[in-house]
Amino acid sequence: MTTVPQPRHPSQRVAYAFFVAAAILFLLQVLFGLLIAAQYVWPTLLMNELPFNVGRATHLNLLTFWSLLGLMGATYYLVPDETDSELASVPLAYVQLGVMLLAGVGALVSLWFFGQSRGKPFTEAAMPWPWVIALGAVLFLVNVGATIVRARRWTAITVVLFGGMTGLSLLYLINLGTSANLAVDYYWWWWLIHLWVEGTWELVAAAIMAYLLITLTGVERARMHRWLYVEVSLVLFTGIIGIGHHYYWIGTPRYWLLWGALFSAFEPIPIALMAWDAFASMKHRRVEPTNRVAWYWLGGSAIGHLLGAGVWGFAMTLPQINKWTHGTQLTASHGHFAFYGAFAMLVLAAVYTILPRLRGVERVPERRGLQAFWLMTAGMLAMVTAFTIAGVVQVYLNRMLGLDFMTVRTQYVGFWIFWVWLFGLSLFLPGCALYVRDFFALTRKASLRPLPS
Amino acid sequence: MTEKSLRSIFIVGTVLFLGVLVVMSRDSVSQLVSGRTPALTSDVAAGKRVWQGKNCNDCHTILGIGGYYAPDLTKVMERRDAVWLASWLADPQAVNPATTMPNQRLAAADVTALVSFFQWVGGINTNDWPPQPRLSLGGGADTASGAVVFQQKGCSACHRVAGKGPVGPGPDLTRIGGTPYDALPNTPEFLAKWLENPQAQKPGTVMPRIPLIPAERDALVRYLTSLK
Repeated sequence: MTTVPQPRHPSQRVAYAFFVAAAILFLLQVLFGLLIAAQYVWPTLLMNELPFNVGRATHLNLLTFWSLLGLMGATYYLVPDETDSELASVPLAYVQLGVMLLAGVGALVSLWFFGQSRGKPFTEAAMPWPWVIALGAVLFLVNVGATIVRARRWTAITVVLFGGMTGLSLLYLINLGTSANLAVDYYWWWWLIHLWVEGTWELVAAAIMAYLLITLTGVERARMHRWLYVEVSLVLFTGIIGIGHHYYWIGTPRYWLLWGALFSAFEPIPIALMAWDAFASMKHRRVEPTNRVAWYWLGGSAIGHLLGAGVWGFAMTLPQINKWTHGTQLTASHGHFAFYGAFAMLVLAAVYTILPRLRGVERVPERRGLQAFWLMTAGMLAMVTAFTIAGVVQVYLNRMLGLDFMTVRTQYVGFWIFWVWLFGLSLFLPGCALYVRDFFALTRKASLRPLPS
Repeated sequence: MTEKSLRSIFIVGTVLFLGVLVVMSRDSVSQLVSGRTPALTSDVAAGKRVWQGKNCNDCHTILGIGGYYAPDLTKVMERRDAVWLASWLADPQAVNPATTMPNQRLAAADVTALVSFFQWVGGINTNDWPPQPRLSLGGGADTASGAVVFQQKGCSACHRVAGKGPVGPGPDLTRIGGTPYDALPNTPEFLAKWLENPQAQKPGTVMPRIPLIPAERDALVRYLTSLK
């Protein structure tokens, strides 16, 4: 089997528009991250013009937004390939992107200029924008679902991918409601947050990972399909009740201390299996990689997912430890590492695999892409290290010795967030900017060659 | 195993575990509303709307969830009294000109509602979270542990000692043991009474009443009188 250097189905090209939006929003997300890190160190910076809470809400929302757009773009490319058919409707895909972008812009404008928020992290978007986002999700599901149903090709990859996308859309509906009881509000909010990142998003990511591994390494499809089912089964069988690690201290009954600990202790196992599977596939490849940048992002994602989600998550998942670490910078260290490894790196692997094919080229200039990979990855590792030290310092001084929060923040933790900011500014931001530049350069260079119609 | 049987395990298992989660969630939420959280009032609900509408949670944390940028407010009413908190919420800069908490320009009713909300949150049964610090003051409390209490209780957020800390709103305490401040006595007896309830000693002071156990109060007094 050899790789196909151009899309087999013209409708796959809608992926490109999603990737453009994802690349720009990614850079914007990083800029807002740098701003709030700077505010942590110099708290009066833009204190009244763009306060920390607005910057943080923007940083979080852009993260989920560009990751989702990237995963959706990859899905639009992958589903025609898997079903060997054209997408049900190309215009609908563009309409859906427009709806999503409208919702995103609307949510940010209402946050920035009108101070509107629904007040829970990640889900700040004020009404009516959550309804518009939900509409975008429905349009996406209809389009992808119709494609699969029409082609009658329920491969392991399409089953898991569509299952994950349906699940994450259904879970989003939770965000349309609220409860006057803060503890109940947060109870259901965790269904959304946890069952997204440790459930449905994992399904989508695992399916895309399997697709990319088959595409890039030429490993046997049937074996990959079986592995995919084993992995996602273990993800959900540990992760669904593993939600309990968020129910230790928010007012929920004490039995969650046992159930949460028991199930989430096993959550790293499927992640380790995925990493092992990825590396086994890459080692026993039947085709040589023609695109080292995609190859690096793919391998990097396997490792980053294992370390960020598996190891960093496990480190604080048991209640005996979580009692001290809950709600500190350690959570921030885990969040950054896990999102980068599990989702950001995977989306970039998909972009670098798919983009050249969309443009009908097989080999792409690799230098800038690899530089971006190393700058971002080194930057993230350095930031995570600084976040982790900040978290340990905070846990020890604030929680164990009981020093006042603000004393600890201004005199001890701020120093380590300064390093987060500096590594972000000197490594991650240049890496991200280089990626965006490379993205458009690849588009330009490649577009000189016309696509076969 | 064949792909088909693995798919069946995936689907059946997922449905099964989701079913378990649904059953557990029904029980959890019913326990939450009947006993594990205090009864809701319209004031508490209004306070929550202010809390969420102003996006407080992306700076502060509550129940350990949030921005990690400003203090966790789950048990804030154990640290601050309602009168002080209300004046703080109404205008943080009037209480502490150096604070980086933005003035949210809250209406008086919003302030009252927020205080009710924090009192309500304080009553949530959080399985003893956040944990008590491991530092023990029992027995040999001396000036050193008084200095720790000074840091623990956030005194250093308003008072300056030996060149460290902000200039105001509280007085510089570098020499409080030798030089009385504001014509108030600096005897150990008076300082103890002052810490018990500043308003009773000087009505209108911006100094909040910080809840202290007797050992903490005595350690603080020993520390303050040692500053000369």
